[in-house]
Amino acid sequence: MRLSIRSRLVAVMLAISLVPLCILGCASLQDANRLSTGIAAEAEAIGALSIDESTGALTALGTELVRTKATDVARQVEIYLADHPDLTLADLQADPAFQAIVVQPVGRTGSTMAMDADTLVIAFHENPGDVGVDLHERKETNPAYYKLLQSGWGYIDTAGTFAWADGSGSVRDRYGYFVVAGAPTADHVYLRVGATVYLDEFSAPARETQARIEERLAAAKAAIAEQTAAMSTQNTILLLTLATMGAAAAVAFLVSASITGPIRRLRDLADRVSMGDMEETAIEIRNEDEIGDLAASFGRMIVSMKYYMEKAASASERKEEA
Amino acid sequence: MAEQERYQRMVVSTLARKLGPAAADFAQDMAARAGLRFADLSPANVEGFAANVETHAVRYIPAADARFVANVIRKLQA
Repeated sequence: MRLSIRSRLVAVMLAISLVPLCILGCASLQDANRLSTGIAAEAEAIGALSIDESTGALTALGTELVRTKATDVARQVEIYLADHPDLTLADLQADPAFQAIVVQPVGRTGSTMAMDADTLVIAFHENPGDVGVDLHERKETNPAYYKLLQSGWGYIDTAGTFAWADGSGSVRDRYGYFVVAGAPTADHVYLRVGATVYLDEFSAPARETQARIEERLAAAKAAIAEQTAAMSTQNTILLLTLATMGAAAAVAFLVSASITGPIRRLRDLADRVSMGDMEETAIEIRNEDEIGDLAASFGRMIVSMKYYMEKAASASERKEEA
Repeated sequence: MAEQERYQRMVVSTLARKLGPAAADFAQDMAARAGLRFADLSPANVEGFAANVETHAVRYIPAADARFVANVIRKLQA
């Protein structure tokens, strides 16, 4: 296939300008994707950090509330026992007023209870069926809970987290704070008051916030991905490509025209001279470059040809006249 | 003698810049028209030669170029 120099120059210049543009476009697209992914990941990390911080703060607040509740109930027990020094444990268990003092709700999922501080036998509980249960039996089934109770020997306050099966049978973390009331019953029983509650009750608001944050993040990530794809690939790159193609084509046309124009004139002149047409052979090419040199050389050759042709013609005429 | 030959080569070279390979034959013609042999051309008798160059070169090259070449030849020294 015959291609003119101008076509080849235009094609080369277009290729030279478009290849880097394509590479640049691909790199920009990747950068945009990386940037958007990084922003989404950073936002996700910030969300997770804030949720962790919120959960920690709420849990700390909840445990403080549990401690306060256990201490308050223990103080109320001491006051009640000071007012009723003749009541035995059995009397107190039959006393609805004392029952109401010892068994109080803690939050939405917890309650207070009391046990014999020495024998660990439950004396008061929101579930009447648990009254009389010896918590030593938990040694095997719930060692963390048992260890927590055991650490209270000497009537010191104890607190900690342990696993506990809820009403549905699922095991959840539960926090408990245990305080021994400072006054004994008439039969010398010291009561250990405990307030316990499931920990996830405290972190429920944080979990709801976390769900909302995750929902917003997912929507934001989808929007970023969509916008990145749409803007980068369809608009910016396309416009840049078209603009560069237009500019490159214009520049290539002008440059190639400045090169091929004089060459075409030389070619036309050479055509005419090769056909014997020696009229109007002046070359109006004044380029200060290789094409100018070529035109000057070509001009000298034509002058020589004209000279020798005229000389040959005059010699021929002289010969005919002779 | 060598200086004269060098001078004649300089004249032919000057002509060749505008006339190309026909410069040597053109120089012979111009010398003949001036009434001398090109081999005898020297700075002392170059005026007639240069005048003929200026007159006859215009048939092949622009008048300005012909005048310029003739003037250069006039000023050439061996």
